[in-house]
Amino acid sequence: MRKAKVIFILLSFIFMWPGFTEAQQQWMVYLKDKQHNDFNPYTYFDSKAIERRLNSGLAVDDPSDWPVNEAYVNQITPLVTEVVMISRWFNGVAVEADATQILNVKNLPFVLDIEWVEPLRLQVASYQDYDTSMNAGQAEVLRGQINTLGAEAWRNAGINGKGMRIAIFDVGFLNADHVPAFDDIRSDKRLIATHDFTSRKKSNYVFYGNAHGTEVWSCIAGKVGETQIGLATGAEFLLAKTEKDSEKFAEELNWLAAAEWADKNGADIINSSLGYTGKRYFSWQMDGKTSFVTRAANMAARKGMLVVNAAGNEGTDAWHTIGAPADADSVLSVGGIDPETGYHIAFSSYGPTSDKRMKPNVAAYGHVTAAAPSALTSTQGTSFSSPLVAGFAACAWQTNRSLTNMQIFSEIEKSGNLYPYFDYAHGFGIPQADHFLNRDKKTTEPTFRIVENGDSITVFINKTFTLNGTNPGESEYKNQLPDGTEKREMNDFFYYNIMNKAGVIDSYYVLVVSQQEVLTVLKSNYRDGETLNLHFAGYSLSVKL
Amino acid sequence: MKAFLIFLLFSISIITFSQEVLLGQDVKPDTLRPVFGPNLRHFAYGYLGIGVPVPFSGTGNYVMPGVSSTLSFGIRYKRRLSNTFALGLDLGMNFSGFRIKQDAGKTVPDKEINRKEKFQVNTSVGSAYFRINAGRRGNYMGNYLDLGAFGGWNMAKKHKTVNDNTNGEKVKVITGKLSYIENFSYGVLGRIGINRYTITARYRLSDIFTPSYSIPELPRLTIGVEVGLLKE
Repeated sequence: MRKAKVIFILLSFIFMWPGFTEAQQQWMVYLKDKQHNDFNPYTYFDSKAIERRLNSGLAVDDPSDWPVNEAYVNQITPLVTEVVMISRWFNGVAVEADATQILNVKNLPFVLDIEWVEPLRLQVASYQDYDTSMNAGQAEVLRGQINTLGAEAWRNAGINGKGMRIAIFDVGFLNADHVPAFDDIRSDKRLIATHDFTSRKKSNYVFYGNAHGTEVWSCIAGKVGETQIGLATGAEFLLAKTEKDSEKFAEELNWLAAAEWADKNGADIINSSLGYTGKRYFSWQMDGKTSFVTRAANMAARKGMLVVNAAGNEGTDAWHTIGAPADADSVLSVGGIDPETGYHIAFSSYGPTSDKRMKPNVAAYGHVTAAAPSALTSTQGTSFSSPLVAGFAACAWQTNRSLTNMQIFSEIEKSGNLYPYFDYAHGFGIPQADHFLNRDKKTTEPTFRIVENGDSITVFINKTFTLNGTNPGESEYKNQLPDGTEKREMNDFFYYNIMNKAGVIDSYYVLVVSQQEVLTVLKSNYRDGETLNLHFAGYSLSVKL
Repeated sequence: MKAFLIFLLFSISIITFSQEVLLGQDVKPDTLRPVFGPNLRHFAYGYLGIGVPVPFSGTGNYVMPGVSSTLSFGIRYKRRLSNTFALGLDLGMNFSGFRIKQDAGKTVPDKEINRKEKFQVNTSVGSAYFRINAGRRGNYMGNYLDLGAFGGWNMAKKHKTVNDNTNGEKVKVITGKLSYIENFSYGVLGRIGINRYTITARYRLSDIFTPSYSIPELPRLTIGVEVGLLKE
């Protein structure tokens, strides 16, 4: 009897445990085929979506856009607790069902496969430092976050993302319907559509919950008076709430649903300031093809949209590297720059992907001044680097609408201030407006030279590229701010990396240029076929070791 | 010679410090497939726990549950078999204190009434467990159920009483190395965990008191909580 009681207590513990009682799970049911029916893309899609397809050379009537067979959905619906979403791209139906229900679904003859979409928590790629006033430091950061991306050049050229449509996927846009930073957008009716994918009621109201999306939006297009927060102040917007603060279900499904919605509504660019890492995936699954959200992001790119995503904030964590969907090869992944130092901000996730592709692609400020619900505020995270670049991308694409999404992706990489040099902290560096506005004027005058002497390679900075044409001394080279403090810009640093035969960087460095002889390496320390890549002040050089 | 050495040292120091490296990254660690982590091949972490004895009617109901407790700490090793199953070992210490009710029917260990009375058994314990994890996840501990067995050596076996003498002075008597407490203990365990937080249940199959002394047994079941010393 006593033992029976013990067993009863233990079993009670087991069955009281939520993991056992929470039998309802989410599943993606993939279907074998589609029926063309009478799908008419010209009535289904927004005219801008048709325009994007035509501009990108994509088929307007593509099977992946055909609707899911309604007869299949009708057969699945009574077998499950709830149909959560229907994906045209994946030809699938996301459902909520228990194990018995899903077995019944699996037995249907038209079901190809079933994937368990396990409930787990969201990791929004940001952490915030709220401040209610805009002090001198915030003003300095605000200027820097857009000026480093060529705000003045864009302004002088009259480029502000006009005609571009940007979809933002985020955790909430608290008070964004009242924040003055978006007054122009509202009054010009450039907020085209909103949708809350986290609500079972499928509401269109997104201006609640977290302020993260409000701040992200401001970094794309915010404007307070004449002061710009982001670059694409003339663009149109689609706002999708795809996340909840502590949501247990469906973030990746919501992302897919939002991407299909953005496609239908004519988005040119998607900004997604979120990432999934260790709680859901293993580091080796960051290979650009495994995670659900990564596959969805690649599909969005195949539809002609430019997907811009934060690299992540895991740089100082054990995870260390980028998350999903920043690992997708068709996603423009954006790392963070520290405004204080001018190079990689510590928390910004590093590349490469697990299959050793370069990530992040580019970088922008990871500490910004943004529009919060009640005031301008300081906030940090690659969540804000991404929208800065999304705004830049809108401006860049406006200069040449004939480019496809992957062509503009490539041009944005080429516009990086480090290009063709890259590393896994900065990618190709901060995108530069000049690449799009003054392409013909760009020069690449050598800023350093190398001297090979036997086993050693020594790099000397050219005097012309030091302050006052002198040999830079420790105190001479550093820029001085009006208050006497030091200010370094990204171009003040010397970058080098060692690349192996496979084209993968083994190690990379950023150095302070404090003397003319900046670097000496011994060839004997490296293997044959490895390459020493060097960059300083706009000039890059590669040397075989 | 001395001057040359000083010059050499000075030169080396100049070379060494002439480059201020702001950022240096070796990529290899990021591209190697790790094997140590909460849901990787091997994992180990520390834990701290507290439990209370749960008396059933007729057995062990002479202890005071509110002030009796088992404090525990140790190291837990986990060997992943699959995303769902794992095996593991614990090594640690349990510090079990059983406060005895001082009422008329008292028989443990005798009928004598004291102001306070307590048995303290400190056990060096090892356990083996089988883990069932619920859910698809990455390198994350997740939700789990552990079932296992434990065994240990009762390193410290003490009986403590506190009384007041006729002068109103406090008299504490501690008797160690008790012959009527067994040297070893063993039992089964169950744990339900959500990442670092765990509810534990341990059921002692062995007796604490040597049977030949005919002392009613102390509670066999201990229920408690543990916190794993790992990063979420």
